[in-house]
Amino acid sequence: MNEYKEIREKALNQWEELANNSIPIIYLGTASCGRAAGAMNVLKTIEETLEKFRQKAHIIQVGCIGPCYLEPLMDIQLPGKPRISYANVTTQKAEKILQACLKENDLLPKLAVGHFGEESFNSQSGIQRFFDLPMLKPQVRVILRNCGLIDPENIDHYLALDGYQGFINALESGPEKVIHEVKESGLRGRGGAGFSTYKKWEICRLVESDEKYVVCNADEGDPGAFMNRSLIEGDPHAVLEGLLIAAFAVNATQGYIYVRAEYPLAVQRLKKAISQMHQKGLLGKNILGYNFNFDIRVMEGAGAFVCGEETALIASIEGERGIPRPRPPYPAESGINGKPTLINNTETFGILPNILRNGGNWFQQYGSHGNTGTKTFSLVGKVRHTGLIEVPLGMTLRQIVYDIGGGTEKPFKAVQTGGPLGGCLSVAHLDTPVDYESMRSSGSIMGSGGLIVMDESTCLVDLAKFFLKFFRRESCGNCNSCRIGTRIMVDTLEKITRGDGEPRDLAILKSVAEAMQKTALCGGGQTAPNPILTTLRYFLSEYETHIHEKYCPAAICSRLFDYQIITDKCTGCGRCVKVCSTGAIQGQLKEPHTLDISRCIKCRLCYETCRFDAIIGVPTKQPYFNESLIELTL
Amino acid sequence: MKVKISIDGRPLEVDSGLTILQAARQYQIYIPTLCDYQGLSPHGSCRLCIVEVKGNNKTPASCTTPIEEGMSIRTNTPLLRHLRSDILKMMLSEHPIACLLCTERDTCDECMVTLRKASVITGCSSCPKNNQCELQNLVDSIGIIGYNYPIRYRGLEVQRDDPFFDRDYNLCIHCARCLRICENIHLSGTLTYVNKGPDTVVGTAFGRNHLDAGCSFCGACVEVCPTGALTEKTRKWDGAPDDETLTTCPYCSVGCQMWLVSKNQQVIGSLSSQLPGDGHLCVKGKFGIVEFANHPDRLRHPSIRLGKTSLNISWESAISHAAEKLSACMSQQFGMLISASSTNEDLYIAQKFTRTVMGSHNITTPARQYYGQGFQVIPSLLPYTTSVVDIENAETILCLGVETRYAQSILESRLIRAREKGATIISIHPNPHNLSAHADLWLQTNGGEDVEILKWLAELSHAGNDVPSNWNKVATELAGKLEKIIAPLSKSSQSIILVGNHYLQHPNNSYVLSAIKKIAQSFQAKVVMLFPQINFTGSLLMGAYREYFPGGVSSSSKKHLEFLREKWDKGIPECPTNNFGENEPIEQDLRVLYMIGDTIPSPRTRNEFVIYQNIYPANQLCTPDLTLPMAAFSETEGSYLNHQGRLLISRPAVPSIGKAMPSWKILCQIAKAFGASGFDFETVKDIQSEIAQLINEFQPDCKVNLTSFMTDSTEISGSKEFSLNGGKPSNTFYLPTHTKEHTYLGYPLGTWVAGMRVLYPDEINCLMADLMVEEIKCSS
Repeated sequence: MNEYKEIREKALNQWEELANNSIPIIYLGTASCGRAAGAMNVLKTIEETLEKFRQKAHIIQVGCIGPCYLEPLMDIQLPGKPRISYANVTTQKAEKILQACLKENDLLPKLAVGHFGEESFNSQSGIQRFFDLPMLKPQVRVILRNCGLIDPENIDHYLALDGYQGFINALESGPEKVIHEVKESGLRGRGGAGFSTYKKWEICRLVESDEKYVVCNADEGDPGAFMNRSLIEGDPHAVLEGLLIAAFAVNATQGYIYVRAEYPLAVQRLKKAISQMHQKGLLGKNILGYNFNFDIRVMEGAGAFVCGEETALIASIEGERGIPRPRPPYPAESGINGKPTLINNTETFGILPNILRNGGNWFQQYGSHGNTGTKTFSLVGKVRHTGLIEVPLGMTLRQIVYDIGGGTEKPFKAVQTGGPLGGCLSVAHLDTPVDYESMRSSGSIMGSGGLIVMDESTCLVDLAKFFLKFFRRESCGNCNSCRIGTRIMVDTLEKITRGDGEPRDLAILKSVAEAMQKTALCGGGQTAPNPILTTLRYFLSEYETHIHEKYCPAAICSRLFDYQIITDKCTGCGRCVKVCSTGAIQGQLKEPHTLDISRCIKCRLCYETCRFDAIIGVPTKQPYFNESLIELTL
Repeated sequence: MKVKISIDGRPLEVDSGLTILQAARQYQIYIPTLCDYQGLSPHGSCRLCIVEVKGNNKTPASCTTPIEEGMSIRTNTPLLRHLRSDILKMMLSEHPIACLLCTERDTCDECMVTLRKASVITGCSSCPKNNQCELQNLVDSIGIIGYNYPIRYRGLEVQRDDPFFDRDYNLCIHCARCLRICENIHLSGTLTYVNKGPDTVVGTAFGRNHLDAGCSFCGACVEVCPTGALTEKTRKWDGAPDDETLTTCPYCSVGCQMWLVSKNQQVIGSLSSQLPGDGHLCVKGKFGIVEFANHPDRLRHPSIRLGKTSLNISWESAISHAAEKLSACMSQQFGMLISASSTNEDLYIAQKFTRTVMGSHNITTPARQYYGQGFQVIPSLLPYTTSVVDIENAETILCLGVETRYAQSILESRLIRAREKGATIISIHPNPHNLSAHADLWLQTNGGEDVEILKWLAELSHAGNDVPSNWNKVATELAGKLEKIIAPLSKSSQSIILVGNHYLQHPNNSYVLSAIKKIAQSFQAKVVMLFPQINFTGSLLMGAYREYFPGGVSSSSKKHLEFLREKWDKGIPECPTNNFGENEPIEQDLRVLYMIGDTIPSPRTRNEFVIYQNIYPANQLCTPDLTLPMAAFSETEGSYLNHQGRLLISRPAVPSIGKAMPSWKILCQIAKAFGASGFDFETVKDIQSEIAQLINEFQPDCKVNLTSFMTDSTEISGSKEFSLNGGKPSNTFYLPTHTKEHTYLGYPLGTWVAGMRVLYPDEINCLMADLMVEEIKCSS
């Protein structure tokens, strides 16, 4: 306890200095979302500008704070003032803002998106609070409480904000009490299956073994999901503290974090965090003076989606081919090298320090009975406000898409939950609460938290094909149902989107999908048909249009539509003419343009460039080749 | 502990710890399976064994689901039938099904109307596994109703690069049996899955062919493959066998049990049986039988030599011709050479013929020459023998010159399993070999070093905690390695020493084997000598040498001589003891030389009458006057004594080819043409009962006690100490010439089995006779 008090005090001192800064502090979001938006160039500009101004300032690189659509986010905290955030900062904007704030004492309230101070500062500055932004206000930031606010590469920041206090509480109260708190909290695994976390811990704890392992599953493979990545990039110690707590509860000796190799920044931050833990005595023998030994090792994946499945992950750690193994035995009883292995998702670990700090009951205030607490989601697609969000379980899809997401530009069509193993839900489901049971009963799954919003410009047949092609490529190939089933479904979908669809193709899709659901070996194979089954269930008309009328209403399947210019809407602005690479679109300025479909290659540039919705997709008039197949009938 | 469950409404009680499939099988309830295979752990990939379990909305696989108290299981509901049919249809979308769903399938054989000969298999009738294919059986039992899935055949090239079997992965149905048996049972790790998704296919690392990938060609994968994906090259168009016989493999002294399958009275293949192979054979037993037994060059008629040609004659003429020549032959002018791969009965009759009919003791086997000086030392090591199964329970295993890639591949899996249990494996071998990857320590010996190393090991083992004399003269590096070898041996209570060909046939093997004996005595270790000849132990026990009487008793024992005279009711001369231990098989000028199953290496310079009895014609340098066709091991009954002294039975799978007869029968007929008595044997059993009167333990499946084997014998000396010339390497070129393990009845197996030649590309297979012609002196 004393050792912890010591390191905590040091950290607090550092944090105090930061809060009462005498020189400006510049925060820059350099998680992967920021970097993708160009934050590293902004960083360079900041450094150059500071030198030009001969101004001393702290630059702190922080993780993702949520509204990725606002990245790059640059925040400035002048001495005596709260931190103020500026969005979509380009290199030119950065210089302008720095000039204004540092030299002219002008906070540029029109440009600022929010401040991190008290509400009283609103009227003073003319800027609202950052967390009152429409996207952020309905959210409950528990897991993500530090993301964007601390330097993820500085353990002292984490320690200062009650970091590792949860772990100390665990050490003081003992394993049984720890499991009791987790039970009280009602925490369910955040990886997607939603299995009761404390039950898994109990099973693992009760198995007698000289070696036990704890594994953090950070192999976030769903396309469009980045919750785990952002958490690790923004606050790696939250996850690591969770690992320590879990290891103590089940009496484990070695921990692994299995991160996908496609997350190099996350890997780097984890390794740094772990070495800092060693320096502070938080890993190794007799941690912080307690009778507890533990060490953590980072293992990188090798590009296999299937290794996110826990038994395949274990096989990968053992050095074998990543194939799921039949369960039972469950990993908690027999995992790596036959030893009991506790596997939880990154986010599950991220929640634990909060539960151990505040008690299990505290977690229950969010969500509902059986679905307690909060969950992070990656809200992407056609919504206005894309990014990383955290909401209590039970919030409806409508609230998420419209209140937080700000709705869609074009009319809403569908939302995909749970990644490639989840389902597409239609407008009729917008009032479904987002919790494990409700999602499952509507035919989807909550999954690890991907939420992809689609509008009428998305073809759902094409979307189902996309997800199935992804899964076909990633199938481990071991069991018949999945290896062949996905291939048959992709072949059939390609047939439909190519224009060769026949009515019996729907029957084939359905029967193969149902066979896979029931008979596949692992959860992946069993849920892979979900995109097909949900789109067939809720968007059957779109399939039928593709098959019977050979028409794609969303204008995506290129052989099933032609572009057409609506002359009434065309203003003759000439933008489409400029982007058309084949000269299919012709027209004079201020006169309605024309489109020659025989020259059109369906590159879609005109459709996306037009600001007046004057280009639409209509049923094709081209001669149609029906590549009929040889049927085998008995 | 018993658990109550119900299957299809039947309440049943089964042991806990079983899977649903195991429980169902206990009560003869049928559930279709494909990837399941006895001896392999359940894999759960085919999804055909699915069942319905109350409370579970999915259909779990019964092979991987353990039973629980109160489970209610259904194995044959409409839903299950529908799903199984669906899965089967999915499998068929990747597998050529031209015949499976064709309405003319049953009549096709008769009129061949739809058969197309193509090098690509398009359907059952052009597939080697037709009528032997598990997929066909499944389609018939599960039934397909309509077929409408899009087909996507793989279009892979058939792989024919490797010897013995072809791989057509277009027919693979991903049961994973082959890679499971290779990875988990044989522990060779040659096969695995490569790629992922629908491109998943069975293959080797880096796409190598099997020869480069380290495959032992044990053939286990071919045996377990349910379809025609893996097929033996020699067995493609034979169809399903109509008979199978359990017999013993004749190619080495381990004596694996195997099933010979035959069709139309011809051997078409061999399958593994249980111990000691544990479910697989080595390449010789698996792939070296069919071509060997059926080669067109096999002798079918007796013949005599006329100048440069030979003339086929009848058995009557042949027998009387032989009897005529033999009767004119004095005792000391007769010599009998019989292969140590012959059965006990053949050996017994041969020595009885020599002793009672010819009145001579001039009988020997080529093994004497093969083992050289060590021939006298080997019997004293026999009491230390044990079964190869014990390897898995040993704590330390010292492998001397043991190469496990091909000939002893069945030992390799045992050694690896022993190591997984914690055993220490030490290998002493001059070349890189398969074991060097698995051994804890590999001591690579240079030419000539072998003896010094064994000398020191023997001294160290004897010295215990003391230091042997002159120990300080040993180079430090070598001393360190030797101590590393001695350490685990001295600590463990269960050690085994395996002696391979390199040491058994070493130029100084008498010293080597004595040193091994010393080591074995010091550490109470067992010694397994891996004789390449299956019945070497038997040849000693049957007395097929001038030194030994039947029973393995020394022929200098007057007491036993009297005993035999009484039993055989014949006067046998005393045996001259002055030439005991001499290497030369037969010394004096001979009038008649009778060779069974082998030839003597030197070309014919003498004027004797040569009778040659084998299954293949004699090599070029040996020009026999009378050639007699012998029946092969697959055509005769008999018994062998393996390295452990276990009596193993050989059974005939097919009738003898042409006019060939078993050796013992030929000898009996010649004896009777002499008018000799004591050769009225009708069957092998008659011979066995006579042998049993002389040797107590001679019962099938019994272990002959080899410890009491040699107690009557006089101590045969002859171990000369070998000393290096002051440790300086000599400049003469050391060309190791061994007759390798894959020689049988005088010929390398590669002479008749094409694939064998591919396995040993670096070696020159030449007969001793050929070397003599070129005047190359051999060291062995």
